[in-house]
Amino acid sequence: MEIASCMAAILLLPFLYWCFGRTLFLFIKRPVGAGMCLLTGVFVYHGLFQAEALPLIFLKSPLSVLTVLWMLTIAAVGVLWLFLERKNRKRGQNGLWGETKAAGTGAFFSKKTGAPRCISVSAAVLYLCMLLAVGVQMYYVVTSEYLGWDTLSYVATIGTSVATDTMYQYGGQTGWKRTVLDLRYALSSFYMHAAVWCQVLPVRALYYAKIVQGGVLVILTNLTVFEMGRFLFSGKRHQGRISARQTSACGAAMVIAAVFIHFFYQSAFTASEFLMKRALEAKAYCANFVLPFLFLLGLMMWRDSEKRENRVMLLAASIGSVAVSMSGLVTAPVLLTLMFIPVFWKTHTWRTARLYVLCMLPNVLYLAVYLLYSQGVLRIGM
Amino acid sequence: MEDAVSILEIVKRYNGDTWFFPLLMAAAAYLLVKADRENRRNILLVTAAAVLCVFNDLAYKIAGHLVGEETYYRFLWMIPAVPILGYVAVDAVTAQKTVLRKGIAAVASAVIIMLAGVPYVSAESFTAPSQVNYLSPETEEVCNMISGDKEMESPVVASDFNLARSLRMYDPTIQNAILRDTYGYDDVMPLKGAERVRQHRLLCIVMGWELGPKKMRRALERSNTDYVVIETAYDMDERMQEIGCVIVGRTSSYTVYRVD
Repeated sequence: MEIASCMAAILLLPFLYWCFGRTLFLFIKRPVGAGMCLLTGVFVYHGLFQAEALPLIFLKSPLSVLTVLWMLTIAAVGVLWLFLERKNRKRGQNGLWGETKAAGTGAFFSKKTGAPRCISVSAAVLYLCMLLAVGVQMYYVVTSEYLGWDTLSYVATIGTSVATDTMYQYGGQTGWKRTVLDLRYALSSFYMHAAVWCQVLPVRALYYAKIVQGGVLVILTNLTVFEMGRFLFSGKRHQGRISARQTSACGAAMVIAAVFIHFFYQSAFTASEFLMKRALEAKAYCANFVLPFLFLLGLMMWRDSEKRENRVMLLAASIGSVAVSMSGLVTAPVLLTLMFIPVFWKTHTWRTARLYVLCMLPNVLYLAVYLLYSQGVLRIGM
Repeated sequence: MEDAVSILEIVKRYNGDTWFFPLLMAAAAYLLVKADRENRRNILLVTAAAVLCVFNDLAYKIAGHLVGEETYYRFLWMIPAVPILGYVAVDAVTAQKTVLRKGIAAVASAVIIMLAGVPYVSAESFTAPSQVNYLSPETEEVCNMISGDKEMESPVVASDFNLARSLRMYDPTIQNAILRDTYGYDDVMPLKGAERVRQHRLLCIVMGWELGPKKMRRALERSNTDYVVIETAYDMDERMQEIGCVIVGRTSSYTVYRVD
């Protein structure tokens, strides 16, 4: 029963991510493909969760309060999504997958009619191979029996939170009640998100962490690679050689290649090691999803920094990076800064500068709080 | 990645026995050659900035001071090595004109990756669903024994390195009496301070090392330990009963004692 609940959650969470992302893009009236919708939605979802969770964590509220609040939030966003979807359909604009009649992706939907189009046999075989590769990788990841101190720390943090109906009030490795809130962990609500779903489903923390968090990371990692492939193979260099329909097939090929490389990149502390053995950890999310996605957004900004969707996605990812992983606290803004250099070189406008500052702001604030804590200035007693 | 003295050493340790770093450099050079003028400029700008500001020994020392040297390797995650290598592999295949040449390019790419890497996959890599055990059966047995015997909500348990990492994953109400650092560094940390001495003595008990009964009893009392789990092979029954501990039960490898 627990396994079945976890498998259902592996499908439910990506749907919720897509739903949150879709709601955002419907709200700003900009069409975006389903993949980018889902990936951006992760940051919108966790960013919103963080906004609700952090005050409750600092106020030492029970976990169950956050659970109820979050379920209500999901319901509210669901209603908003349906409302915006209906409004969108009435306007006759972009469909469920981000395709438009005016300017569809061309890969899966006809640009003229918006109807789904047939794909070639070779492309179908490629997509099937991609799904098989991702399936094999997901199976390897969720059945990994790796058990380290960090595994204990995070799983036991989730488990203790559920057992005691508290949030970050007990040490993960020891179970001792903390005297002071440890902001090294408490500044990111990622593990409390897991605790919320452990209460809702209900499943044991170990199963949720290994199966759901691991499984969802495999989906997000490979979807990011897929979108990166679609983006890169739609570049000027490939025009004339690769059609719009074929860019998605190239994305699928890139996923197959990436899965293959992951299986051979065995070395301590690499992104691959965290994905293959430690996928339940937030660090794994940072290494395999957050930073590669920010890299992709940086590339998209190089190509077109004025496109509103690109700016919105970048802002969402910047706001949600720490919500997903504390490891993004410094690495995300550093990567963003590096990727912004060519953007500034090309378009040194106040608009670009303002976007950069807005993207930096959340992490700068988090870093300030963290430094105050690490220097002993800020203490939230238990 | 502690005690690394330079950024090159960090990169070397990060890549371990694989040849992916040189392969990544080769992939980057390929992309630079193939890129158009604008993208080539962008890649060079970003690379120069990254080397000047992040990937050098001075930045390593500063970052180490701010966030800890042992976490510096996370900056290497900013380089999306796997997607870049994947992109170059697919690009090499799509650049071929005939299906046969595409096939050869695909096989060649796969062989290069296999030769450059160290595989995760072996005969024992994939476990059948019914054989997957996140925790050992003994962990479950020990937890159930304690759960059935305890009178307090959250018992404090002293156990060895293996059990300490798994008990709380099965039963999060259990508290570990012994800290992670004690298991890893007991032989190098000086015995200074009451808490450190207590930790060392608890480790001596669970490992069956020599320790007088008074010191054993005091360590258990002062750490508020409720249960001790020791490998049965260490033959600790007599010593534990001498200090007032009661045998709760045994698994195939462990004996669980209650501290009365």
